[in-house]
Amino acid sequence: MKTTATTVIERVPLFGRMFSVDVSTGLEEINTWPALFIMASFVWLAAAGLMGLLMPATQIVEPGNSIFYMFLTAHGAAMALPFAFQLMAGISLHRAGGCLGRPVTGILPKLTFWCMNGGALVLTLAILDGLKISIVTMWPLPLVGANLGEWSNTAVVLGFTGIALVLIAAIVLYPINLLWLVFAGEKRQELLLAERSLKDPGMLGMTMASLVLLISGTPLLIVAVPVLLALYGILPIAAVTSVIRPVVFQYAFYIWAHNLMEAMALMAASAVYATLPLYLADGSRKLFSDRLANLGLWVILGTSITSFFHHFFTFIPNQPAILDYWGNIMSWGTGVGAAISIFTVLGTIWEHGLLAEPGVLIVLTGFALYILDGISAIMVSNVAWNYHLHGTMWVSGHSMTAILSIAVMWLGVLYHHYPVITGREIERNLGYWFVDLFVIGGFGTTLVMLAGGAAGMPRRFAAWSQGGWMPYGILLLIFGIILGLAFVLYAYGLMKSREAEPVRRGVFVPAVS
Amino acid sequence: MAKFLFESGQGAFALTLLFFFVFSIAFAFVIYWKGFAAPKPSTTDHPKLVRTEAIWIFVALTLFLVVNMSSIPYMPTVISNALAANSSRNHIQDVNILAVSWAFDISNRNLQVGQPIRFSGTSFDTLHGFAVYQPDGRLLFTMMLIPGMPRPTSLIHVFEKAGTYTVRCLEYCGTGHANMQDRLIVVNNTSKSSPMAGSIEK
Repeated sequence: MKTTATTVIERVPLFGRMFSVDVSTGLEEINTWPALFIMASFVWLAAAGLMGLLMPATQIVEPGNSIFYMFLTAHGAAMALPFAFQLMAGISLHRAGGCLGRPVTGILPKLTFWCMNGGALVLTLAILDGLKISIVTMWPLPLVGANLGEWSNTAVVLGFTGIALVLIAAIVLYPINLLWLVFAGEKRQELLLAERSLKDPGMLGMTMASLVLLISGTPLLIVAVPVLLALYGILPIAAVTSVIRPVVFQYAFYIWAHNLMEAMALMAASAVYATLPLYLADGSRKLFSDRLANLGLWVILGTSITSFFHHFFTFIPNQPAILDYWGNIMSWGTGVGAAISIFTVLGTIWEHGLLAEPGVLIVLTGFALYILDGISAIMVSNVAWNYHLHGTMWVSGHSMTAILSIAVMWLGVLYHHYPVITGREIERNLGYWFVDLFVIGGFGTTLVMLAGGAAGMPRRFAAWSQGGWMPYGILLLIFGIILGLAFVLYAYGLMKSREAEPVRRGVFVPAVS
Repeated sequence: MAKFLFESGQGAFALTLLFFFVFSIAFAFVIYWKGFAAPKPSTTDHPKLVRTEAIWIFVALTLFLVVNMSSIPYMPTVISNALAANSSRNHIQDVNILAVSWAFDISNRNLQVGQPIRFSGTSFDTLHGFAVYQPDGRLLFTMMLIPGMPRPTSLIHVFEKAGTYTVRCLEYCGTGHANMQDRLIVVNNTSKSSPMAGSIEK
């Protein structure tokens, strides 16, 4: 069955070849749109990776050159939502479809795809037109920059239009699509690959994450809509800016941005819980304890929702000290949830043994990096340390690692689902090589950024030579290149994939009597 | 030891490495042993693993409590409030800051060691930071300045060492962000007793 999604996949050179959908299984309704999401995420990864390498390269060649801020904005803008989020969206929708027997078709996946990618393209155009606002969109910087002549008003309008489209995809369309699959929609036996219910940690985490995205993003949408209308000239800008003060925008933004990361982490943890049991040596397909796994997810959810106050510790005394301490306690509470998750993962492997296939090893490598990221996150969420680390590379390192580790867990999960989607299997040896390279590049990049931050190296700062921070920049470039090679290798593995066994492709094979 | 841990980013980095080292050893061992060396089910009783789990969660909770409780005396919010509460005993010098793209207007750049100083900062246009770097390059503290606030961001700090302290903006504020810098000159107090003597104990 030919759909818009298959047509787009076929027409995209190079990447289209990696994700052409298997049409022999009758599973196109759970495969096609997810495949398009995943393919598009790889296109954005390629762009984001290039921008990421250009950042330190620019600093080394010409410290202080403000083109650095263009690469910074483009890198962050492409990496977080169009790459990592979209990768997650693609695989999670495929998983949900296959676990619940419900098709991933209709208006919701279409709108999600076009809003996410159309919005990201429009934002890219704005960045190329000079909009250098960083990924965080620190309101009212876009307007101030336009007033100072740093970029044009057109770039601001274009940029905010792009951001609004991406936000609609991430906050509204995708979560509703996932919740629709979980709670509504017609169940069709022929699409059911491995039935799951909300009692399974894998499905519970996905549902939690969808709700978190929807609820935590709503305040930001409420704030962003009048701003956009003012930029279009529909509402008077003076009236809007007097109501939506910068502090309101900042809190609305961080309630969402913080919980976006937590939701993505919940989603990734649920994917780990769903994938790990499939690779146990004794074939038991059981976690160490489903109840413990679910408890870990509930603890992370309960503590993370209000831990966003840690973004404003240095806003003393405008953010009351009691909220600082609350944010501190809740942030470390997520560490307790992570401790439970660590035991669930290690307890499962210890009790049942592990089939060390590349996919599950990639998942576990991402999980290990996620734990390192979690440690760095709780450190900077302690009030005492925050005053020495906020605004430094430590925070950038934490953000980058959160996105990277979550994305890599999904890349591991993709190893498992790839044969079902495309009918092909990824070369195993290349998977092991990816793990080796990623361990060096991923962990190296993270540790260098944390070390730079500990030494006071500022984030989003185009003058690394200023405080003697250039050695960190050079190391970042070296580890960044290794990290880039790891991803190139992964993509090469997709291109070199070979036809999979029918059973791995999702084709029903009757038992021979 | 506690001073090194909680009064610098390096302290946080050292503890991060320690936590991660312990985790990565355990993690790598389990994966190597159960995935490559002896990839078979364990003979360990499930109840024994459940007991281990309880101990592990108890250890994690204890560790988290110890670290955070130990950090309380080093929290700038706590120090600042304690100094403000003793303001009748300690004369607090006020330094006002106005941040504007891309410069600081600082009411007094010449300060004394041991003197409690209340830094109060506002922003004129967009988000800015007011970060004070020690003469050795380490970040001493930072403050977030959001425009349009009815009261300034404010922190009381006592300098312990003389020297030239660099001020930087640590909130991205546009293409001139990296050049938004200033300096504070801190000199030794020439009076016989420090105005801060005994005012706060860490």
